Amino acid sequence: MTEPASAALYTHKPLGEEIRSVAGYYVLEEEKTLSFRGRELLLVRGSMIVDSSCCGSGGCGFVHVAGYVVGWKTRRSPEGEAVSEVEPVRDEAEREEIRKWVSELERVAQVQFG
Amino acid sequence: MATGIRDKVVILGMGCTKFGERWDAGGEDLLVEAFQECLQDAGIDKKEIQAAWFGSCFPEIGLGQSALPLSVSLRLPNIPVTRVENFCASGTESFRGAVYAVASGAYDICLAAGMEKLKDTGYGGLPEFGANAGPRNFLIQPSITAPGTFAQLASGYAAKYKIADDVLKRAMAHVSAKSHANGVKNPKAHLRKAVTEEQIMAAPMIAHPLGLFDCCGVSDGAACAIVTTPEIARSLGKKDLVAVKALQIALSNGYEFGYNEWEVDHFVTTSIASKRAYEEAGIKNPREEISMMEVHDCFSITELVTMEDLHISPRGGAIKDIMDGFYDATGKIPCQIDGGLKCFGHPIGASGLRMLYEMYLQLLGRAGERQIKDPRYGLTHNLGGFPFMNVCSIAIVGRYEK
Repeated sequence: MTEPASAALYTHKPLGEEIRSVAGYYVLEEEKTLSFRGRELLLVRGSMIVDSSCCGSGGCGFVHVAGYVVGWKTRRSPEGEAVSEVEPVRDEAEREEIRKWVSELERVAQVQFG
Repeated sequence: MATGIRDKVVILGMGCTKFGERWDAGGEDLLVEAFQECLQDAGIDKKEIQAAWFGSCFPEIGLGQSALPLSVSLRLPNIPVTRVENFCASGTESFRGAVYAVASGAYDICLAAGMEKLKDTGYGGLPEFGANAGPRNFLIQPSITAPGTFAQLASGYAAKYKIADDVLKRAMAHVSAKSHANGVKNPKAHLRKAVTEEQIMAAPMIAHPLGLFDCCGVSDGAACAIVTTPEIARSLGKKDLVAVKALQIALSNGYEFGYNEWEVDHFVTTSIASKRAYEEAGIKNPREEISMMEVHDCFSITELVTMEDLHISPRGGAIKDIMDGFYDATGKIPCQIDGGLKCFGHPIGASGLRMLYEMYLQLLGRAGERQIKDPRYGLTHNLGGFPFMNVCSIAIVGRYEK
């Protein structure tokens, strides 16, 4: 299978699972697609708690924008998880527009891009 | 003419608690736990210890000021005990005090101990330094954070060597994933869980480009060492000896804080202390001669940049070495073979001795499934403070070969 030149693979991770570091943890809570300029953006919403870091405590809601969906769950990872093909958002101006829109829509403090 | 510390002192025994959320134990209990293992390993009686040093950073939430907590907890036989504090180098400072005391001939057998209990303070993070930080602290550092200043280091490093954001993030993720993979094999580690580079890179930001997995945590723990001369160790029946090859400490003097020539791309102190340490140990080519390292990975970028300041990776070359697996458990110089701060957390007074404990086990072939093949020299490194103003300690230990 050949992906578009700019495509990347996104492995769909289980929701509700604590991914813990020694400084805190994050949880992926919801996976969804949103229409943006006629294309479907794949994003994952989660929350982070920093409760045992050396440098303080805190937390935030966040959204990870994987990219525009090119192929939906077209393959499996070696661990058996579904894998989609996505086109990451690379343009900084486009990122800024999505960042502003998604942070207001999802009420999160951080919007990251894959 | 000073001749340095090489081969004048050996480690007779060491002990280390399990690090973690030790709700089951107070600070005194942790000291006793580490000391019992250490004493049994040394094969001596407690009354043979002639002097002791105790490293702890936060007496206000720990066991209090002075060295009395160590003396009382271990019921030491009314010997001189000194408490030392030098930020994150406090554990190594206690080791330095004990080693120098033996080397001077003032004592035959000395104890170095370090302990910190940070998990039951009632809040996250380190305690407020407050008035203990000195009256000038809030004038010169009014609103900084540790992640913020180390993020500046990451940005400064990336700018100097023209490294793309995703390339730096991937290298830092490899640093962290490697340590987590090592920590799974260590029963004394606080967090024993493997994580993938993808999970690390998907974590939210703390201070760009440092994400959640790029930062270390607090923990509870204690570690200690008993040191003596090679001759006394031999007389006690010890065959394989681990000798102190070098002990160096370098402190900032205000140069970096001026932000004039310094480009926020490296640690001045580490670069100086490591050169002195190699000279003291008689090491000509550290990339070829150092067998393993435990460095101060308070942030992943610290470990990455430190590989260059230790003169092992060339300037601007740490990312290539990291991604080539040079510092992995199976690489040329395994780094954080015990899991590092990422898996042990950072009970400040104990960390330097915890690092030496792993080097000691490895040199004696007692590291279990983490054991690397035929190590000769092990290096430990602590960095207390911030990139622009810090305390750096380097210790090198190795087999006694005389």
